[in-house]
Amino acid sequence: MRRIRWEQSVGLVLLAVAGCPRYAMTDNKFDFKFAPLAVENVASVSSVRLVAEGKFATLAVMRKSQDGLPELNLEPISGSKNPTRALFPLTSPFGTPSWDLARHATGFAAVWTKPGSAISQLGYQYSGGEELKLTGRYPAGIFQSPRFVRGAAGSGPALTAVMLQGGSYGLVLFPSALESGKAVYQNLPSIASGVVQDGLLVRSDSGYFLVVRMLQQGDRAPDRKDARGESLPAGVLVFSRLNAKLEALGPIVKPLGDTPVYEFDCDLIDGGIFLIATTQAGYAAGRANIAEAELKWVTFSILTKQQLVSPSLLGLENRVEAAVLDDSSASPRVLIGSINAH
Amino acid sequence: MGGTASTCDEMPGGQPLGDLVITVINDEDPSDAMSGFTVQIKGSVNDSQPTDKSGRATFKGLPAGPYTYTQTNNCFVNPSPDPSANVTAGSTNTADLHVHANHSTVKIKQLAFTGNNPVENDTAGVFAPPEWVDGRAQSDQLPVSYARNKKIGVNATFTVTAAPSCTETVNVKGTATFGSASVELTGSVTVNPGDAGKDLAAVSLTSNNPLPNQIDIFESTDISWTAQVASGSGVRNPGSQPTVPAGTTRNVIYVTLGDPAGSPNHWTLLDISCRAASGKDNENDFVSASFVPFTAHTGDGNGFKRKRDGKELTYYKFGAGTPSSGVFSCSDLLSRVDGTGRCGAWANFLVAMHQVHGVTSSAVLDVVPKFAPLLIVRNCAFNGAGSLPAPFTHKGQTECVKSDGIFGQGKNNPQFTFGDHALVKHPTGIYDPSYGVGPKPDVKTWQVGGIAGLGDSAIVSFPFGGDSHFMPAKCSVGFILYTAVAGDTLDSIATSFGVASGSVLYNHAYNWRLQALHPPPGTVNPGDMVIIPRDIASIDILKPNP
Repeated sequence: MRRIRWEQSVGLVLLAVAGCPRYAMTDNKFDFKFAPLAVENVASVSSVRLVAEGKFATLAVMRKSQDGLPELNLEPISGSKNPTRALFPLTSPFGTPSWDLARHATGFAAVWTKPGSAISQLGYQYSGGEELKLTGRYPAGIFQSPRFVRGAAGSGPALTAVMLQGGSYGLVLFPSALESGKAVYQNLPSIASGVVQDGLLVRSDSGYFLVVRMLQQGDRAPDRKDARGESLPAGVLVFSRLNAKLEALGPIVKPLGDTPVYEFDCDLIDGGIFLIATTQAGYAAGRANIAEAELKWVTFSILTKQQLVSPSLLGLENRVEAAVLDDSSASPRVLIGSINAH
Repeated sequence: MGGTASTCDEMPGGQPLGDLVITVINDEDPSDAMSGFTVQIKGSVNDSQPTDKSGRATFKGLPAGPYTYTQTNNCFVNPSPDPSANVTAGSTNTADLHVHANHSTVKIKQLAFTGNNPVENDTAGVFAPPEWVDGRAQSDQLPVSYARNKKIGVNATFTVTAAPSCTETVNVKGTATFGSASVELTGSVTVNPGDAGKDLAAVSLTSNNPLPNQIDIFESTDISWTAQVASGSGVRNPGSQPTVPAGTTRNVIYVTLGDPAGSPNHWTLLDISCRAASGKDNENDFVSASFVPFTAHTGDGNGFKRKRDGKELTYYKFGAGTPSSGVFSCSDLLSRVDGTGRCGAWANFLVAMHQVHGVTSSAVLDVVPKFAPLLIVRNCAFNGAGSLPAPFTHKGQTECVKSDGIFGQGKNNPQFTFGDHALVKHPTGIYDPSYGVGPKPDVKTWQVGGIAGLGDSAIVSFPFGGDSHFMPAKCSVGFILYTAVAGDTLDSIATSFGVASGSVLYNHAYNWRLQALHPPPGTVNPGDMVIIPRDIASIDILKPNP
């Protein structure tokens, strides 16, 4: 059963800013209790990602850059006593990269886009290593929106990207050998017709879940810009379970219906798959129990007066941490929150 | 109307009697003898009689007096109120009964084309039939696309504007002239009494002739629809049934070289290409002609207008600030709110344009410098000899200075420094849709007019033409590297690269290392690196990106 809760509320952020008792939901499992995080020079933050460090969450922050060398910083949150640290720059002289970060045996690994004029390669680097051209095997390739595979740990980092193939975008998986310079992709199944915008693969012990954001068909909701200044066309989320061979098992569902969304993230924790997506007027969140043969999404849509960008989710022990950028004004704010996973 | 003639009949008992002859007249065709009808009279006697072969019903021996009369065939309408005739004793009275049948009239309500290639609305989805609907604004009627020499098909829905007295078959026909092709779409519909105001089941029609055997666009061609009652119980003489107008329909019809192959049938691609290549009937002519608009839509405000929303399509609209995601494909150009894209998007756009006509022999050709990280598109002025060591002799934007260059699609001065550049290769030549240049016989010829030089990897940013741009911090007019092999001489190397002489090659500033290694007059040994400068040689400084 799908439940939608609309709140004509300004409370979410206003109360969060004030540090007062925050926006209350009937089902408090979805109340992330967003609150601003004190981040140095927050105005330069263009996007964020949550990553795990032990039992704590760390916020990776990419800052705007004029020299093609945007830096990644790590900001401790949720009780971590780690210091703020610089990671490594994501060199991308011909455009602002899109990127993702994951844990790596040496610390962290990052993947990011390195657009040229007609091509868009993927850079890859891990803590202590040199920058690599992940897509070196495909020098004329066009890869966008790289995302590390989430969920259960596999034999090593794996990632997906949107790739232009024969004039159409599709999702591909780099399952292994990311550090070899000879990584080979495999196509992921197409689970919806239309234009693929971005996607995320979530690994479980028994298979995979694929979430894809497709360009909204028909009359489209207005585009928006993210904090990097890149256009974000409105899309619709589609979801499918995949087997271990990465074949779609169906049914193909739209967890958020036809709600136009701009960015999304999801993660797996304790048998639940959680989802957050920014919408025209706030954000939507949802969860489903992966033990169910046919997943039933419980979703909520929350109206805010803020333009939220760069949503990030992280399953951590029994909690789901969330981070988002409030990009409504010239001074963006990093908002973080969490819910109990159960 | 009636009359009398003298008779001698009377009823038993002496009541005087008269006869009544009623002629049934078909008002649609007064010459039609209405035999087989039954005429009823009501008066002091009620009776009914069939009409004879002349359409007359004769009632004999009627008591004098008034009689009303009707006929019983429901397919024909009696006058209202019932007419009457007065029977005069001793006379044969005559009267006319004027009847008519109500016939169907229909009007075209909507068309759903068949056998066509559905048009895709520039990434917003395929236009769903019906493509034409009565009452929809003409500008909102949907575009239709057929491959050349194909017959037009439609599922036509008609609205009944007048119902018949009895069920009728109505022949419907659409006629139009598409260039050299006159086409008719014919079929029939069945209309029942009580159908007035109703939409009939769609009838499937196919044109008798195909569309012209060439690329075309028909924007103002109407299909004129007519209807003619063909048969039915109320139809006495089909040949006398008039052909009446049943409306006109108009859709923009794009006629392509072939069926689409490999690309969605995007509206904007159809519109540009069918307009530009109208009349072409072979691949090479189509490819050449459809590129012509690319040469005419460069520069600020001149860009192609996207059919979906009228948005201007541009190349690197925002200079160095042009987005770095979602700008690489035809679908990106057609979907982005800002309508801008990089060279890959424009190359894909042209390839997709060919594909909507079924042409699959063109492909994106991405080129990169052979021996440098960056290429510079014209125009840049290389002032003086430059102050840096060869081969990157000039400092970006101080010694190598950007000036107005080759305009891009919808943009006067798009970004001009790249690590690669996407072209389109087809058997007719090399095309650069981003800048509207082509066809050129090969990449080498294209770069003569298109490439200002090469650059090292470091860049400098600066404002130009209202945008932020960047260019290499170290620039060169261009070169390739050659490693000498056994048997080479300076002259032989010079000859192979079109340099005037070995001494010209040796003495060029770019070969300062060679000069240091082998003092004048110079020589080469196997393994020596010789720089072949572009300003004195005929060389190809680019290569395909594998």
